[in-house]
Amino acid sequence: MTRRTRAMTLVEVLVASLLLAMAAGSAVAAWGYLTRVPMSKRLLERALLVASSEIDRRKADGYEYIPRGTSTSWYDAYGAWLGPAATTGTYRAEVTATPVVPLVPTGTNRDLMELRVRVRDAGATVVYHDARTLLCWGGL
Amino acid sequence: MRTQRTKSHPPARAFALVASLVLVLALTVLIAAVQRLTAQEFAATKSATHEERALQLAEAGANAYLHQMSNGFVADAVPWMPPRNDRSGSQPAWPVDIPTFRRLAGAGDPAFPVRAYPAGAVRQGYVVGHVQSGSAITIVSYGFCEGAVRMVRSNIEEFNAFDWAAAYGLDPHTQDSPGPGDDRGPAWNFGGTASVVGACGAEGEIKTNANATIYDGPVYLSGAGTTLNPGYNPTPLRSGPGLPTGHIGTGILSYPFVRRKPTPLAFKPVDAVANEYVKARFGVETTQGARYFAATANNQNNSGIHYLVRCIAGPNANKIRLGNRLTISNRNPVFNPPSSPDDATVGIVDRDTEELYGIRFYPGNYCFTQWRQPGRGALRTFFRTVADGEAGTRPDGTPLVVYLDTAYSVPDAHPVPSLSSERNVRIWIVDPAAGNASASDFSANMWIENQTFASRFRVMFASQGGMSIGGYGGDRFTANVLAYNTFVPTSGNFAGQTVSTGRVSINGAYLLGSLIAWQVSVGGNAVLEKQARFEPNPGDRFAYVVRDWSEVR
Repeated sequence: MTRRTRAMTLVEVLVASLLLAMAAGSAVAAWGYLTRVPMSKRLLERALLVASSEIDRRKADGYEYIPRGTSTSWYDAYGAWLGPAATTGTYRAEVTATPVVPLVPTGTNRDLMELRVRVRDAGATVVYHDARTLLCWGGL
Repeated sequence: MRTQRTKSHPPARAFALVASLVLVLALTVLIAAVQRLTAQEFAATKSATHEERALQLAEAGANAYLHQMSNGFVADAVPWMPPRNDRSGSQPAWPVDIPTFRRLAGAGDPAFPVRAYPAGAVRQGYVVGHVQSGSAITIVSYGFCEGAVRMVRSNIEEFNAFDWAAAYGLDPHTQDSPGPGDDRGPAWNFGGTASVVGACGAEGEIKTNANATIYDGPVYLSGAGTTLNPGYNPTPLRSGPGLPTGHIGTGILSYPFVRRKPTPLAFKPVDAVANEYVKARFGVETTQGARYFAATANNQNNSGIHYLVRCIAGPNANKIRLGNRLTISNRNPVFNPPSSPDDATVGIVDRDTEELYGIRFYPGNYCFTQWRQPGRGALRTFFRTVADGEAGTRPDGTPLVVYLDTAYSVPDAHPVPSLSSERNVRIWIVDPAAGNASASDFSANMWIENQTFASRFRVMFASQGGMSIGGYGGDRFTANVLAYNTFVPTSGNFAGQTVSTGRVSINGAYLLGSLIAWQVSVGGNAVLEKQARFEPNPGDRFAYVVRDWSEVR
């Protein structure tokens, strides 16, 4: 009886150790996931906010005032625009405005313009979000 | 005793194991639950991203469609360009709700042409179409991204070139940087005590003096105008009754007063406008430009211009009747009516009771190589910019009395019955078929019978000769004037180059409407006032623009 009790305790310990090991492994993996996902979520949300803000801001300026070519805007960690004079920030919005080719570009307000906004980190090493839209004179 | 130990100890060890397993299980479940919640939150964020993206795509599709409506649909120019998709009167009626859209678009219904955007994208793009009822046009655009669908509906309206500004100069060339034809500008020469009321501006150099004034604004400096006039900053003034002289009502001061737009507007030369007008109005494809109207079959030169005769005695005293038709030469037609034509030409029956009163243009298209109406001695010329049975009006809406205080008594019926409902008079000035172009003069005694809508009287100036507009007595010259055309000389120093033309000089007149020219020169005490009231869809569309839009759920 005593021998049988010890044997069971050993098995129990082994099983418990295995379960604990699996649980610990899962916990470590989950910890990594749980710490990574909120960051990704925050970046996704902020990048979306920055891209949408940048598109809306350019639209509000008016079609004729949108400079052709590439320009950069800067946003803080909360997704707020840092103004036209800013040269650094948390998020970097690279805006490229180009007439659509192969439609004949006229250089006037008759062009259909593609606005592409790439939201990157400050060092421009990672693209968090890439948004495109089309603009025309008198449009939305 | 042993039995007690045997019975009591194993349950204690088993409890520890069970407890630890339960704890591990509970922690595992907790971690799994948190992980699942986090994953759901992340998925929700991605879903929100797709929703936002779907809205952006719906707007992008609507803009691409609007652009094509304004500039002409180009089939398959790019893979993602929405094709023309007129859903007026289709079943189910557009716009359909989103569940119906999902069902029909998913089934490949041809009423829902799916375009992926950007090129090569999967599971994101748009479907666009429009519905039209009369002049009301609505663009409906569905944007979709990874299962998310959003729809925007925008009502659009025609934007006319003349809705833009009271005065606008286009020439971007300067003394230092002349263009083809030794074109040295300026786009706008603003002198004397001239005034402009409302929007105005230039796409080139502006020369002005200190006495010239701009009321209400804004002043648009577009294209080259943004850099050629770095210090141009006129004093903002607000118009009021009699300010400037002859002005009615009170204006609204624009802010900012001066607006610099890097992108120039794309005004079309008169020849291109003519080609589009002929296609839209008569359904005829032509590349002749304004010269299309030089053909007698395409103008009313010899059917729509009549003398007016006034009765000066008898029971019809102070009444006006229609005299004979004016005859215009078909070869290089010039409008230069004799100041004292003989009675038989005019149609005066009895010189003792009747006299020549003037000339009247009925609605239609007229084409000349030169317009001569200089000085006070010029015959009164009326432009009947109303349909049969309608009365003329002054800018304030009161009736226009053609002669003294006599009620309007000229016969209403248009000499060309098929034009009885037409309200627009268009004067096309073109170069002669051979020889040099001559300057035109619109200076005196011209009366637009409906002064409420300048859009009904249009002078489309395609000639290389200059154009002058003058005025006497403060009466308004209610008109839309476009003086801009291009030509390619076949010989000389500038052979093969595209040379632009369209010089307009305005002095002493009160122009109510719009003057768009390659070069505008304003002097004397001239006033140019942007017309505040627009008539819907007057033709010569520049583009379609969105009037309002909303998202439909």
